[in-house]
Amino acid sequence: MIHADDGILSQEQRLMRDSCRSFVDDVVTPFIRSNWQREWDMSPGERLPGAILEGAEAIGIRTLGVPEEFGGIDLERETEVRTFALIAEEIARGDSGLADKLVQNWKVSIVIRQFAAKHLQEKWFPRLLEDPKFLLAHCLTEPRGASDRWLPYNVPEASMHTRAVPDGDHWVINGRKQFISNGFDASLYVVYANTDPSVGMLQGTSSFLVPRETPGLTITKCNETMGCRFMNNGELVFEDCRIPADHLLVKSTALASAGQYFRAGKIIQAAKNLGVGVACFERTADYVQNYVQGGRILIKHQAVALRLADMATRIEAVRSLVERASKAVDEAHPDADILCNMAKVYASEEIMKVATHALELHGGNGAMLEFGIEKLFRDAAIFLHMDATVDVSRMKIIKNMFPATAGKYAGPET
Amino acid sequence: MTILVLAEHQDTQLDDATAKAISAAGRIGGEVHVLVAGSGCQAAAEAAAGLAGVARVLLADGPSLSNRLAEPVAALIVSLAGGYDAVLAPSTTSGRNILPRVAALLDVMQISDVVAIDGPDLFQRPIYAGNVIQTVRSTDAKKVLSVRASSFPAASVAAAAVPVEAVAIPENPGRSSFVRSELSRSERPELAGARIVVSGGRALSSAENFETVLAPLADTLGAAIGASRAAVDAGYVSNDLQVGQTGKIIAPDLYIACGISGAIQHLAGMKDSRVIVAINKDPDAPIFQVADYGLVADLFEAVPEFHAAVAEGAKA
Amino acid sequence: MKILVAVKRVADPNVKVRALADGSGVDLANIKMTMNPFDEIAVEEAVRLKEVGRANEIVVVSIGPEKSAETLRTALAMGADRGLLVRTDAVVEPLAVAKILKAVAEAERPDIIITGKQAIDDDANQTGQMLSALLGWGQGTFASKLVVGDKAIEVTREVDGGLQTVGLPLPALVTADLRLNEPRYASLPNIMKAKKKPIDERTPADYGVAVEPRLTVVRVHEPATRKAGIKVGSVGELVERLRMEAGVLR
Repeated sequence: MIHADDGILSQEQRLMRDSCRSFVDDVVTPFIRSNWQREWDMSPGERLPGAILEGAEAIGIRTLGVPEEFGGIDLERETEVRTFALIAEEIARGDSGLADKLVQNWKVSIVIRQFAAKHLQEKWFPRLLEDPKFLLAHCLTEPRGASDRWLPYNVPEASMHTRAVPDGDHWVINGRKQFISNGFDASLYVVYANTDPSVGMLQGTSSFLVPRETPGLTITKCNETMGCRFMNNGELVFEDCRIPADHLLVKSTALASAGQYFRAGKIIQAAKNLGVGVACFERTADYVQNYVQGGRILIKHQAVALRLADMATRIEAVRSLVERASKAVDEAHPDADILCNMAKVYASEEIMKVATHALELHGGNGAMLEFGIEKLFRDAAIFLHMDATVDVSRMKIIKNMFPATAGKYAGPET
Repeated sequence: MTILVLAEHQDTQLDDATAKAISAAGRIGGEVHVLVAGSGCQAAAEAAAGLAGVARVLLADGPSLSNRLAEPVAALIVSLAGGYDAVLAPSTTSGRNILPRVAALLDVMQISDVVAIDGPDLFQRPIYAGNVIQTVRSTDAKKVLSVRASSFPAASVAAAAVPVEAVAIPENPGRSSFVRSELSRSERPELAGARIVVSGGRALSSAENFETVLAPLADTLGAAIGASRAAVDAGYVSNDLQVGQTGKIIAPDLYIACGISGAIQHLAGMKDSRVIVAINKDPDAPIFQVADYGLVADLFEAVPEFHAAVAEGAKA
Repeated sequence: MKILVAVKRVADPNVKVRALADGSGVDLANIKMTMNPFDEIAVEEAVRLKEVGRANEIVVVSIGPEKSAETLRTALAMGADRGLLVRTDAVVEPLAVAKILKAVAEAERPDIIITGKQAIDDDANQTGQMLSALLGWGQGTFASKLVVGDKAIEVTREVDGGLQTVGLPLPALVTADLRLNEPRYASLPNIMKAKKKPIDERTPADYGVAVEPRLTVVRVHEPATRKAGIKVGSVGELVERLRMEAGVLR
């Protein structure tokens, strides 16, 4: 692909990108290519094999977002989200499930370092660093929905069903969370719950830190998904789950002002999606330059060349928007929310088209499981839904662009 | 013009690479002398003396030269270099080890791995793993060259042998000592000079399969066994059987690649073979793009069948 | 113990480099560059010696254009302590490289110098041997194993037909072959830490070394490509054709 990165990336960013790329080329891609059937055969506990996670650990990509004082990495904060995007893209180029496993840790680490009490950071960050299997999860979505519930109107009726009620020096949580990335495997969860049923979701939602072994928390299910299968998506039930009062992260406004810490997640999502697109392109470019049809390699057939050019153009357009949006998030620009939702929704639809081209240019081989193109196609499809559907993301763009008529100042027409 | 060729030998016998280096030296033009350095290497010197195109053979026979460590052999060549316009060696591991040391001591920029000689100071050599050939002109008064033996024909046997003359051995610089060597013993021909090579890739999937599947075919053909880097890295065969950019670069009359996909690094090591046969079950393996005869088949079926056919032919 | 490692920035080995149409050189426009793979192995070996307490300082040196600093930064991220860039835009031949490295070695006084056995661009396989000769040191080329003692080292070398082990008194020079070790990836935290490690900059003139080439490149061309032959339908057909058509089987 095009790599005009001089002047855009710092030397360190390029070195980090190159390290991740080597890891993916040497370790991840060969595993995925030669173990395509294991995606379906493995039990949740075996996804992924230890050697791959150890490799990821060795290059230090599980614990981005952990502050240096706790043994984490000293990423430059002013370009941190851009760096996240670069790394996420490279890992997803190898496997988007592996990338998702890892990036949940980054975005939850940001929330913890921002809102958790010092003594809790001192307790949990070292555990995260010590244990290569330690994963974090971010629990928003419920069986009755997530942001799609409050998007039309921020009214009490649209609040979360999971509730947290104070009880002495504890909070008691009851409810259910579903479609949670890393939900089946995580050791520590950030959970969002309603703490004030009398107001809208933006004013009445709080966030809590919940260790996996807390009594009352049950991991009920590992979801079998169509793509991104090496990440174990899970379902959680809270039944009188008592957590100490100091585990409250953000009171009431966890989805409002504190919601800006979700932005990095949107960028990472778009970047992972971009990585899937790059994998589609590279594999297809390789294929059409080696396979012969009608006495010529495929790329010399104009219809093939045009499709390939279209793939490359879409990928570069997505990359440009991801770059611009991540810069906006890093600089806390007022348009950051709009741009990161645009990047996410645009990436998901464009890369889906890229994956479709890949499938098409592979002919019959594109449909064969062992060729791995159908995996990329399924992995691309997941992004249309993960971390908000494309339509919800579009609504968020409009609500942010037009707060008076469609956004935070808007109410029912009387 | 007088040229000194450093012989590659095993004391009691002369390697084929020497005969090829002698013919390369002949292309530069001038008188060719051969230096045989070692310990108890009279036999190798006599073999060199019987090759066509050799004007003199210099024998440096002494204990300091046993195992041909770079430091004493380089000192020896430097002590003789005054009388020569060019010093040349085959680019075997020994030649590659010794010759740059000589060049530095003579303040000459060596030309490595020469594959063609276009004139007394004009040489072709591969760069970028053989993807590109560079033609260079040396401005040094004295030339130091290593030549790729497989690119040159072997000098034939002369009608009459020239005399072997002993030369003085300078003091050993003493910066190195021989500890031990672990040479893989094999009844098969040396990979570097074999007329036929049967080579296996990762698809062989075990050391045992190299022995039970490839070896019978190799032995019936009188061939050497080679391997891809993947097979060596997987531990199926020893390192010195690796064919490729970072292993041996060979050009046998017949190269039979079994279960080798044909990574560019591998092709760099065998693409100059006269006839290439590829047996691979993937019809799109890149090896087929360089093979004269390709057979899309499972090697575990095709190779034993191949063996049976040639064994039958040998009996008939 | 101090170790000096020389590294070169080269075209990525996975890129197929092409000759320019006019034969004046190779086309390196917009090609990804990386550390010479054999030099990565050399850096890794030095870092391992430091990790087991055998070495206490690793200096990496590279001779080349400004961008070679990035290659040094990679070595620092792998675990080297400081870098030295001998900056020049000229093409520097192995003999001149060896002369510069000799001057660097005389200033740094390392106990061991490790380099890759060859750079994968010019494929010369000369620098280590030349440097060792100029310094009057012993050389352990094409190393697949290195055992470091207090006053001497043992180097197991990959040679035709097997392995040869030599003993060298210190100081000594080693060139790394493919199987000496498997280099690590620079980890992300170490890449950020390497940013704070120093890289000095000099020029070849600072060492009094002239870099004018001794070899003139007359022409660069691509070898004739081998054409794909035919696919045979059976082992029988293969054997028949090898006998009758190619004449390589009896």
